[in-house]
Amino acid sequence: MNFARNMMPLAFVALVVTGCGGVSWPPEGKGGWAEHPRLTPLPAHDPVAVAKQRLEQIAWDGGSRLFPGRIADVRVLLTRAEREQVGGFKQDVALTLINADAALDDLAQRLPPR
Amino acid sequence: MNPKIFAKLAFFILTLGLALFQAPRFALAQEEVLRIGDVLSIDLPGEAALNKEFQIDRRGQVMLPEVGSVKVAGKSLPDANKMISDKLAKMFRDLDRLSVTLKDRKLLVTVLGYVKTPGPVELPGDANVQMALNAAGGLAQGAQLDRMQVRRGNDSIPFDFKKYMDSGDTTLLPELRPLDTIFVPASPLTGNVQIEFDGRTLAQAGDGAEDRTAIKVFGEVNNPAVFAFKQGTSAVDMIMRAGGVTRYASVEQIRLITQGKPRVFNLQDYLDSGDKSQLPMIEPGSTIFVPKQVEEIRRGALTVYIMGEVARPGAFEGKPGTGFIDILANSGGPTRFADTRQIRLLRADGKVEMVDLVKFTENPDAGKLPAVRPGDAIFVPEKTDTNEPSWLKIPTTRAVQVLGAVHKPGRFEWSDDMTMFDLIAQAGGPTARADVSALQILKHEKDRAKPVLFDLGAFLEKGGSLRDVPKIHAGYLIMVPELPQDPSDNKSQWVRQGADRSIYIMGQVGNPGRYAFNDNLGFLDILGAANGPTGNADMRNIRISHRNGEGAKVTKLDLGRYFETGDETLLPKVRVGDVIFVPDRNREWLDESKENTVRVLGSVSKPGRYRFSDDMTILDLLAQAGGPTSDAYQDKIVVVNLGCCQNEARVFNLIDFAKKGDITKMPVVRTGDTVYVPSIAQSDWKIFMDGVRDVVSVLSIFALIGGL
Repeated sequence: MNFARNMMPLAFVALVVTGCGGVSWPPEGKGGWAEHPRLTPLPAHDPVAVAKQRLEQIAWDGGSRLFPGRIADVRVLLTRAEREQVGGFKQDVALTLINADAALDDLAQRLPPR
Repeated sequence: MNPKIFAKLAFFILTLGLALFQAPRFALAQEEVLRIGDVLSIDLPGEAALNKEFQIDRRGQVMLPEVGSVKVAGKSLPDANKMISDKLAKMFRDLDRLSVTLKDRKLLVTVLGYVKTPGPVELPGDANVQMALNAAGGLAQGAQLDRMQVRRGNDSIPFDFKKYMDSGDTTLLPELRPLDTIFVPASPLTGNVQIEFDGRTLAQAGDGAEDRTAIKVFGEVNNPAVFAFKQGTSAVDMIMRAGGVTRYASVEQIRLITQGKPRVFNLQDYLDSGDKSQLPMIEPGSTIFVPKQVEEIRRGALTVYIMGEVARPGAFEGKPGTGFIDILANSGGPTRFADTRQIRLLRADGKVEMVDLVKFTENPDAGKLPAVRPGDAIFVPEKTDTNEPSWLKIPTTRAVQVLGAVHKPGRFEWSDDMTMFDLIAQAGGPTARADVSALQILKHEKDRAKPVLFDLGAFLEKGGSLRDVPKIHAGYLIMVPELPQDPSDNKSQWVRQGADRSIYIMGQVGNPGRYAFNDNLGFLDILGAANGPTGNADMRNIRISHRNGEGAKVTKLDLGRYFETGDETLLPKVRVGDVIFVPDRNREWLDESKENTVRVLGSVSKPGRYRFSDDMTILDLLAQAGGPTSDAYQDKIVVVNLGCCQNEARVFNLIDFAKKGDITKMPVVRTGDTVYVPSIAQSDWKIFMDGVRDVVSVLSIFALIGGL
């Protein structure tokens, strides 16, 4: 009995240690389908939202008629930026936006003068 | 004499006279000879087998019931009666009442030869040849009418059926007897080979055959033939039988040979005058020849002749005031082969004058046409290439050569006033297979030659400055290359196409290879020339290697996007020398770069590298990898993001997503990332339970040791 009485604290400590141990998991992901219309849009001042507005303006100004394929390519690029923004990849967002802005500049130059 | 006695005597004499008059007739009837075909009627009251008609067959017999045949042909009727009675007495009784009478007469003959149904026919007793022919189906086409025969035993009796048909005289036909054979011969016109022929055509060819009395009509008539002679026929009748004269007939000079004596019949005069004394009658065996009209040589006081390369050369009657152009126009004008610069006017007095019609048409005052007088002749010569000077007469310092795909390659005299276009036009222009996009001009500078290329096709299409057109000088050589025959099949010809004019297309296209190309063509042209992408082509990853000598540059083309949007700006500008590669959609995964794929590892059905695009999500990726396996820990699917600046990881709870459908909790996946699906063994609960088991095991060991 004395042995059992002496072992009880030890068993308790062992169980506590076992329960506190184990695998640590990364945080939960998000933003994988950020462009879905059911989701809340980005704030208007967000850089990605600004770039999307610029794209839509170019498309409205004749881009969707003159170069619909390139418009679709940039839209895919901005979808990636939006996903990265919602997913918390801030530095990746910046890099993607640089590429998107370059593409948007190219498209803007292709537009006929007003 | 007592009148009563005289009356009785007269009655007696009259009665006796009548009796004497009737007696021979009765005797004739009694003595009439039975013949083959006759029908006898035999009556014996009470005997049904005999009371009917019996015909004397071809052997001269009648076949009686129960007693057999009795030959009665050639017998008189009483004799036949007795013979039949004697024959029947063997089997019948009470023959006193037997009577035999001649019921009807039939004529059994045979018709052979050119009739429609040759064979034996049965005719009425008084039938003639015409009835026999009709019973045999009538005459067949090709029957000779005037030489028919009746064969009787070994004798043959010829007769002229045509003559009978013409006159109706039945005495011309032989009387038919039983067992006679009528033979209708074939006309000699039918030849020795049996063919189907048209009787009308045969009749047009004449019906005279080889008859010596036949009339021969030939020459310019519509149906030259030999016709049967008919008495009282005139020359006009025979010409009409031959279809009349043709338009070429010389009707004033018809030749007629009668009884070996020739004479000329002027049909024209006869028709003009109606004088019957001019109309010759035809004798048997005559010959009529209608000659062809001979062209007359026309010559008159106002005749002008025109000959050579005009539409209607000939002699024309001119009138005072008729000019050169009038005569030329009347002759239909010069043909396209006429050399109108060298027309010759041959005067009646032998002098020759040259007329330049072109000069006159350009400036009538400068090149006046000469007056034409009766007897003159105009000769329009043919334009010939022999007028061209020998090539030896043009020195190299005044000549250029045009070779290759032009219609008339050769060596041409050159003047620096001309342009290269003049030269190509003089050479007949490029052929259909000429490659006008790469004209090669070999310039001579002293003792050196320098090639220059010129894109004539682009210049013709887009225009440009005339200064860019190469200047040609004497001694230069221009080569118009030819397009290759078939770049896909005829590989032996590929060397004929220079590398500087080629574009290359490889991979998943219908006909990969090397194609002629120029800057006027585009990407779709070359893709179409190569028969387009195959079914396995990865159209979203087409690569174009631009080899323009300014460093390596590769363009990626999403042709699928082009087909979705029709955006022409997506198509890259390809140039000569570029290489287009259309990859295989099912290529090995090693060929995929890691930047373009996402790795899926762990507990999925098909771990591996998968192509990913930004319009896909992690759900698409898991589906592509066959989904999680049964031992997958679906609560903690890990996504390792390879970002630009740092690597991070996120987890995705697939079970929770399946329950709630919360799309905000889907992690970001991009190309280059890694997705790991752990197994259930790595779950928190499993690890905890394993720890508890270990603790219990250790404590159990200690307890056992303490118990000891």
